Amino acid sequence: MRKYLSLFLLIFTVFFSYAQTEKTVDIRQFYNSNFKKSPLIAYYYYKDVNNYFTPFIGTWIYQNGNQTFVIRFWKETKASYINENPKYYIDELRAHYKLVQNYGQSNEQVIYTSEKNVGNSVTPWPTIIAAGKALENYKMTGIVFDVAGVLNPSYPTGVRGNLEMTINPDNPDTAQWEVTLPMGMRGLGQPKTFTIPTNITLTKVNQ
Amino acid sequence: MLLALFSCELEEEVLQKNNYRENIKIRNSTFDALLNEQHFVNAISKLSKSKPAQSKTVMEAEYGFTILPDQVKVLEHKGKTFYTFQIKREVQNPDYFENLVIDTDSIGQTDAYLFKYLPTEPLAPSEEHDSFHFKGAVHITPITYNIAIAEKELHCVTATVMMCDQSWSGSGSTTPHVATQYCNNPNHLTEVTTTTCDMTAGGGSMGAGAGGWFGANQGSQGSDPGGGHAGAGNGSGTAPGSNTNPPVLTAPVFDLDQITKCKTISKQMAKFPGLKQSLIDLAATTSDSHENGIFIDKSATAETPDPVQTVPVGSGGTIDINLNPPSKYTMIAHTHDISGTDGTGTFSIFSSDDMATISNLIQLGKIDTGDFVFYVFTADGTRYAITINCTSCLEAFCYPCNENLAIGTVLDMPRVLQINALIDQTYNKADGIHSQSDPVNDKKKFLEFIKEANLGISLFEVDETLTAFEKLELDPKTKNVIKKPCSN
Repeated sequence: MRKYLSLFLLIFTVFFSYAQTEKTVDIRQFYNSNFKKSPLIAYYYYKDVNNYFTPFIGTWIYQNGNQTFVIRFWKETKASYINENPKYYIDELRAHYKLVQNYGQSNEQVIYTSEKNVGNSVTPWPTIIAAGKALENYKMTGIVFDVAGVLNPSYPTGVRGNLEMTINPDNPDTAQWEVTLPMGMRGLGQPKTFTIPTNITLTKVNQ
Repeated sequence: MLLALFSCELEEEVLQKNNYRENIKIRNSTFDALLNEQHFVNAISKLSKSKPAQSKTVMEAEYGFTILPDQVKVLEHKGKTFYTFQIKREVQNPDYFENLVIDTDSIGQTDAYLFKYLPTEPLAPSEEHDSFHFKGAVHITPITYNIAIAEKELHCVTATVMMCDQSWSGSGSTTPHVATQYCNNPNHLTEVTTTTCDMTAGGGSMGAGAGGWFGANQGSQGSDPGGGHAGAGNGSGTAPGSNTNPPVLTAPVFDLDQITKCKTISKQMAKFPGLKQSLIDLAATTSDSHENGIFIDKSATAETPDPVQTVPVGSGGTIDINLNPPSKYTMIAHTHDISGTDGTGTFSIFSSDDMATISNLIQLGKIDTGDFVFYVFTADGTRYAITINCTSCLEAFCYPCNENLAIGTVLDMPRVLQINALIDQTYNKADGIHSQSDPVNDKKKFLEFIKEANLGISLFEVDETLTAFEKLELDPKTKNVIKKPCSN
């Protein structure tokens, strides 16, 4: 009887332990609708296993006269969504931008920055790019929030745009930055004009 | 030895369960058909305090509901008969549905209860079984009359709700669903026992009591409600108050069309005879270099000469919908034009911003969600309609949405990022929905989006004459798109 009970407990413990496990998979599986998730896996971790994020990490600038658009990318390793539904971990390319007058000079002045709170809330933007990812080593995509314009309190996240950033294969320190307005019906008065640059060539200034 | 004893006990329990289930008979009927059964006439006469032939019973008037007469489930067990009706109220809350259960025994003792079912997941039909899946909470209110406050006392009602995991077609889903007369194998009947305690109240109040919860994966696989087995018996000690009555036996009744929503579309078409032509005319404008839109609001009646109004075209070629209309929208239709917002072409199906705007309008209380139909006609030649099954699900999609955030508000930023990740998964990648993507694949992508983002909507494909509607679903096993024609 004890043997049966021990065996039962062992099987139960093994099964329960296994059911709690986390599994690391290629981030591309997050975007693969045919990816079959196992019910035994508690959390998947969608990881940048090929280090495709690496070429994007660092500070990029675009200079127009004495104004410079500066965007800084970093890799958020294993961002947690286990308190949301669906539950998972994922690597993300995150970023913040700013527009600076006389960038790098003693009289430098910030004209706008995304490093601020969302609307009138007390919650800071953790990143101004959502779902930032590179599934190849030269192109990243994501959703960028344009919060540079005058705040319309009814729309605290500003104008949402689709972002595509493509590194020039012949000169990996330059990249094309493109932001487009997603298609769709909107509310009367909803802002849909971008203040941030929408089609520029960025230059990488540090890693 | 213990294991052997345990096995014996299990075997005995299984026999009891099978015996219990075999003794349950489930059949479908209608109110009119039941009026030919003396047992039912006696029961409802006692409860109604009026003749059943009258248009509305006292019970309905006092509790503010109307019995829907077309579908009644009759459950019989050990000399007791339980009649379950769906009921409706003048102002219907789409977040729950209600049943009236009349419980009568062989000597004519009769009681009635209101069952309020609150789904925590969108209700899903299992049409081949003439049933549906339900997961959520249930609250039971006994029907009583003219009880003075001083006479009110804590009263607990235990109910056994019958579910079923039988696959009738042999190859269909075995996911537990509400039991119907087709669940003819007692081994697949599942009882879920729930208790609600409340101060017995008159006047139709749905008092705050301890409601039960059950769902597809919470079904207590066969506890004999009469046997007192742990966790699911008749008044098994889980509830305060005295409850010596055997459990009320029921299986939820719900008009499946409230899930499939085919009738929502056809009723609207029938109510506004000019709507079909207006939609056909709108669909013919997709070659314009901007979106076009029309709408009907709740102020329009069948007699309104021209119920269809135009949505003004805004800047950037998209339509700008009034978020503060004088009446709620019951229909919005729009085009995805050949140019698109960036000149690269159209989306063949609804965009995430389309859905966010509808979500926003729900948050603002500007959508008549029960009757609402949302159309898109695209330059790819595709035509789709959407109806709302779960208001709270779609309402939650847009976040933070058209909100004047009070100073000091704390936002759930992981939620903001995750919603946008879901949008990005669907729309912003090579094999997602975009202006150059394959419309056939777009359908599948959008159905996946509905599921992942928990939008709580039904999607229909529409023919060019606006006559044939097919409900689109994803096959849970093959992930292929299934088309289910609306028969009306």
